[in-house]
Amino acid sequence: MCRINFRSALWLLVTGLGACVFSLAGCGSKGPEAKTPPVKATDGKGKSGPVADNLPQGPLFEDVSAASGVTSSYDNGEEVKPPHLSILESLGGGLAELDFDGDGLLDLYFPGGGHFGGQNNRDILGRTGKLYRNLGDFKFEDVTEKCGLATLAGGTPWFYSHAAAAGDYDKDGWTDLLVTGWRRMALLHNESDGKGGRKFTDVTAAAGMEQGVTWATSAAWADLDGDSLPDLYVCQYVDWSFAKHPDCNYDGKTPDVCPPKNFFGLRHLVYHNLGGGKFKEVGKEAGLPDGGDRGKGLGVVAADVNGDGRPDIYVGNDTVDNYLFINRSTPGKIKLEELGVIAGVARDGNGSANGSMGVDMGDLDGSGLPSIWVTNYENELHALYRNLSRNKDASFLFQTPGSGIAAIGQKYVGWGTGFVDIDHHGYEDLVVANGHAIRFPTTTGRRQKPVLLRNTAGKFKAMTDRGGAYFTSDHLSRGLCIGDLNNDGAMDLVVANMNEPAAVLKNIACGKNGFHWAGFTLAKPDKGDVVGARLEVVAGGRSQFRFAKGGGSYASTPDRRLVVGLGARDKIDSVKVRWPDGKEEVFSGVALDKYQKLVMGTGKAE
Amino acid sequence: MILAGLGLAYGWFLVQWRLALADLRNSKPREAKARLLWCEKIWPRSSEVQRMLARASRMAREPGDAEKRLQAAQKLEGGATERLQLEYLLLRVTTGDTDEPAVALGTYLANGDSESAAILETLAAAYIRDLRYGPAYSTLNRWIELEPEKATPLFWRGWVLERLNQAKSAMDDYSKALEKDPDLFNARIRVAEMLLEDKKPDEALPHLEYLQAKNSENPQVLARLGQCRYLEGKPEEARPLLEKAKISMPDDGPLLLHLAKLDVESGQAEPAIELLNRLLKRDPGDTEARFLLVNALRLAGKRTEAEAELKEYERQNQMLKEANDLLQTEARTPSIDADSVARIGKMLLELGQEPQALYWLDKALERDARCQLAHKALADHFTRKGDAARAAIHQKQVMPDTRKN
Repeated sequence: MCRINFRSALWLLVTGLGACVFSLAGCGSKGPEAKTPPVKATDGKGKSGPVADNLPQGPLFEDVSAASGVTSSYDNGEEVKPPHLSILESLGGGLAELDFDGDGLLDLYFPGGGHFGGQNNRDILGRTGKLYRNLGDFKFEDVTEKCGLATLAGGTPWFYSHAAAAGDYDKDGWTDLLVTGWRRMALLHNESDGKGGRKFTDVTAAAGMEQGVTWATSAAWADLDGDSLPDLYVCQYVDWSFAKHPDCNYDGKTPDVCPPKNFFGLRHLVYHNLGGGKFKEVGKEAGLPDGGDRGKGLGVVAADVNGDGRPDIYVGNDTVDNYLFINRSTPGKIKLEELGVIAGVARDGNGSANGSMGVDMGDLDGSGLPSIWVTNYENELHALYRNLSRNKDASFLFQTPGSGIAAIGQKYVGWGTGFVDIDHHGYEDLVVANGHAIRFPTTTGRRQKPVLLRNTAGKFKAMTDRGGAYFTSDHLSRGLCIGDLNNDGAMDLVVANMNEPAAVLKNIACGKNGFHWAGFTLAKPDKGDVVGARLEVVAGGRSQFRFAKGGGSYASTPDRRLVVGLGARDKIDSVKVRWPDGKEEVFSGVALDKYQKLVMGTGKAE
Repeated sequence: MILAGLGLAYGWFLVQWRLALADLRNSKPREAKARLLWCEKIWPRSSEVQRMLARASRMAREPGDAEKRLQAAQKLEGGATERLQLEYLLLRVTTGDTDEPAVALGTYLANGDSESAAILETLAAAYIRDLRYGPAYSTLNRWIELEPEKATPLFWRGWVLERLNQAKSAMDDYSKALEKDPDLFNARIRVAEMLLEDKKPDEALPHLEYLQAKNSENPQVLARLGQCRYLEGKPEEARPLLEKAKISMPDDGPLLLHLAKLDVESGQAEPAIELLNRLLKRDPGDTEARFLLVNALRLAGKRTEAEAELKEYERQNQMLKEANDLLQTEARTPSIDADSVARIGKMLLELGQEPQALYWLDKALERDARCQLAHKALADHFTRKGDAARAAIHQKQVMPDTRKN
C-alpha cells in the first residue's frame, strides 16, 4: 500500500514500497473519449460558482460603505521602515455592534490597532479606535471624541488594540465596552454625558483590570457563576515582544512574520465580576491550562453546549488544541473543566490541531444543541463540529466533509465568521472574512475574497459569487459582525479590514422572496446576563433554535438579537426559552416580521 | 501467392520483435514477453531472442525463467558474450545483489553503452527496493537526462521524492510524467490520491473521472472516487463506490477509513469500530484511523475505551513526532554512527512501520555489525513475530548487560 496517512507523517512514507515500485509500469489502456484533466492546481477562479439552491434573484448584499460614513481602517503598523514583520502585525482587529445610546439602532465601535515609533521604531503605540453612531438608513456619524474615546483615563493614549467586547457588566441597562490589546485592556463604562447623551469612561484601573495582561485578543462576556453579573473570558495569544522576535521566512529567503509555533502560548484570563464595578482575575483557580505549548487563543464564543443551561466556553487556539470549557461553576466560584479533546472539538478529523481563528455556534440540525464552527488557516479545513451531546456530556463530531464544506478547498485563511440565515429561508448559512496572516504567502494571495456558504438542511454549498460586488474582490479582513443595522430583520454585515476601510454590506436578499422572520431580544427583569439561554421557535411543525451567545466571530461582538427565518410559513406555532437556570418558559403574543422582547418570567412577548 | 503469404508472416514476426523491444523500453515486460514468445517460435535458435526473453522475465520478476533463458542464449552463442554478461549483471541486481554488479555496470555507463537506459532502470529499481533513496534519486536523474521524453523515470523519481518528504517536487514529477504519457495509470492515480490527501476533491475529481472513463470498474479508481465524493459532502454517492471497491480491495486502508467515516457521520458507531479495528490490526501506526476510533467509541457511549484509545493515539503521535524529528535531523545532517540510525529504526518498529524500520536497523548494522541497539530491537521484533530463527541470530549478538535492558 502506498498511502500517506496524514500530513505529519510525511517522513514515514515507505510502507509496501517494493510492491508499488514493481508495479510502476503504466497499465491504462487508450480510450478515445476521456479528456486529459489539468495536472497543475487550478487558481480556484470560479470555484465558488452560482450553485446555491432557492436563493433570491440578484446579489445578496450591497456594499454601502462609501456612503455610510464609516471610514475606520485598522492600522497594524506594517508600513514602518525597515519592516518589523512582527507577529503583532498579523492579528488585526475586530469590531463591536452595540446600541450605546439606546435609540434602538446598532452603533459600531472599531479598535484602532497601532503603530511603531521611538528609537528603532521599537515603541509599540496605539491608534485611537472609532465609535460610529447609527443615524439610520445606513448612515453613521463618528462620535469618538464626543463620547470620550479619543484617549483613555487621564488623557493616556491608546494602546495597540485588537478586539471589542460589548456587554452590560454592571446591569445598568447600558452596554459597556471592553477593548483588548497588547499588554493592556480597557474597560469603558457607558454613562450619561450630563447633556442627554452618552459617553464612555475608562474604568479599567478601578475594575482591577489594569494588570496581568500579556497579549489579550478576543473576549467574551457571560455570567459563568449564575449570579446574573456577566463575567469575562479573555483569550491571550503568545509571549511575543521585541525581546523575543526571531527572523523567519517561508521560502528559504524572504523575511516574513513568524508562525505562532515560534513562541510560547499564554494562559487565558477569566475575570470574575464581583459586582460594584470590580473584577478579579481567577483563571488559574478556575482551571484554565497554563500556556507554553497550549493557549495561543484567538477566538472565543460562549453558549450552553451540553444542555444544562449554563454558558460553556469554546476557544479557537492557533496551531494548538482548541479548548472547550464546560461550566462547572457554583455561585461565587468559577470553575471551568477543559474537555476539548475528549469532546471531539480540539482538533480536526485527522487528529491534528489547526490554526484556528474565528468561532461561532449555531443550530445545524434542529437538535436543540449548538454545533461549533471554526475558521482555520490555509491548507486546513474549516471545522464544523456537530453537537451530539447526551445526558449533559459534551460530545461532538467533526462534520466538515460530510456537510460539504470541504469542497470550498483550503486556500483561505479564515477569521471573522458567523451563522446567519441570509434570506430567512429557515437554515443558518455561513459567512467567513478572509485574509492571510503573513506578508508574503507562497501559495495564495495575501488579500482574499470572503466566503458565503448556503445551508440547505445541513448541507453547505459555496454561494460567494452571489454575495455582490464586495465578494468578488480580495480583502485583508479580520473581524466580522453579523447584525441588523436598520431593524428590517435582514442581517447585514460589517467587516473590519486591515489597512483598508471597513466594509458595510447591506442585506438586500430578504424580502425578495416574501419569506417571514421573527426577531427576539432575550432579557432578564434585573437586566442580568442571558448568555447560555436557548430560544426555540416552532413554525410549520419544525423547530429552530437560537442561542444567546457571548463573544463569537473574531475579536468582535455581533448583534445579540436572535433572528429566525421562517421561509414561507406565516404563522409561528410556539416560542419557548430555556433560561440559563435551566427553567423553560413559553411566550405568547409573538408576531411575525418584527423584533420583540422576551423578558424572563413574563410569558408574553413585548 | 505462397511466397507473398510467407513474406507477410515474416513481416508480422518482425513487427512483433520491434514492438517487443519497444515494450521493454517502455517498462512493459509482460507485453514484451508475449510478443517474444511468438518470435521464439520462428527464431528458436536466436540468442538475441533468448536474451530479450531473459530481460522480459527479469523485469517481470521471474528470475528463474530469466536465468534459464540466459543459459539458453549462452549455449547458442557457445559462451557468455559481453552482452550476455551485461544481462547476467542486471539479473544479479534485480535479484538483490546490488553493490558489486553496480560497480561493473558503472563501467558500461561510463562508456556510454547502448544499454545505458536499461542499466539505469535496473539499478534505480534495485535502489528503490532496498530503500536507498539517495542512490535511487541520483540514478533516476541520470536516466531522465538520458531519456528526457520517457514518463516512467519521472514517475519513479516522483515516488522517491515523496519518500524524501518533497511532496511538491514529487507532484511536479508526476505531472511531467503525465504530460509525456497521459495514460500512465500509477502516476495519475497517485496525483489524485495526493490531492485527496490534501483535501482538494475538486482538483482530484478530473483525474479520477479520466481514469474511470478508461476503466470504469477499476476498484482503486472507484475507491478514490468514493473518497472524493465524501470530501465533496456527497456521502450518498461515496458509499456505493467504496462498498463496490471493497469487494476487490478488502484491506485498502483509505477505503476502510472512509467507510468508517461515513458510518460515524451517520451515527453507526459499531460498524465503524469494526472497520477501524480491522484497519489498525494491519497498520497500528495509522493515527488518523486511531483518532477516528476515539470518535467512534465516544459515539457508541464507550467513554472509557475512547479515553484509552486517545491515550494510545497521543503516545503514537508523540513517537511519530520524535521519529520525524530524528528523520529530519538525519536528512539535514547525516549521522555516521550506528546508534543514531538504530534509534530511528527502533522507533519506526514501534510505530508499525516495519519495512522502513528494517531499513534503518540494517543501516545501523552496516555501520557497526555489533550495534547493540539494532540487534536488541531486531531480536525483540522477530521474537514478537514468532520468527525464532532470525530472533536468535540477533539475540546471540546482544551482550549480557544490554539484554537486561
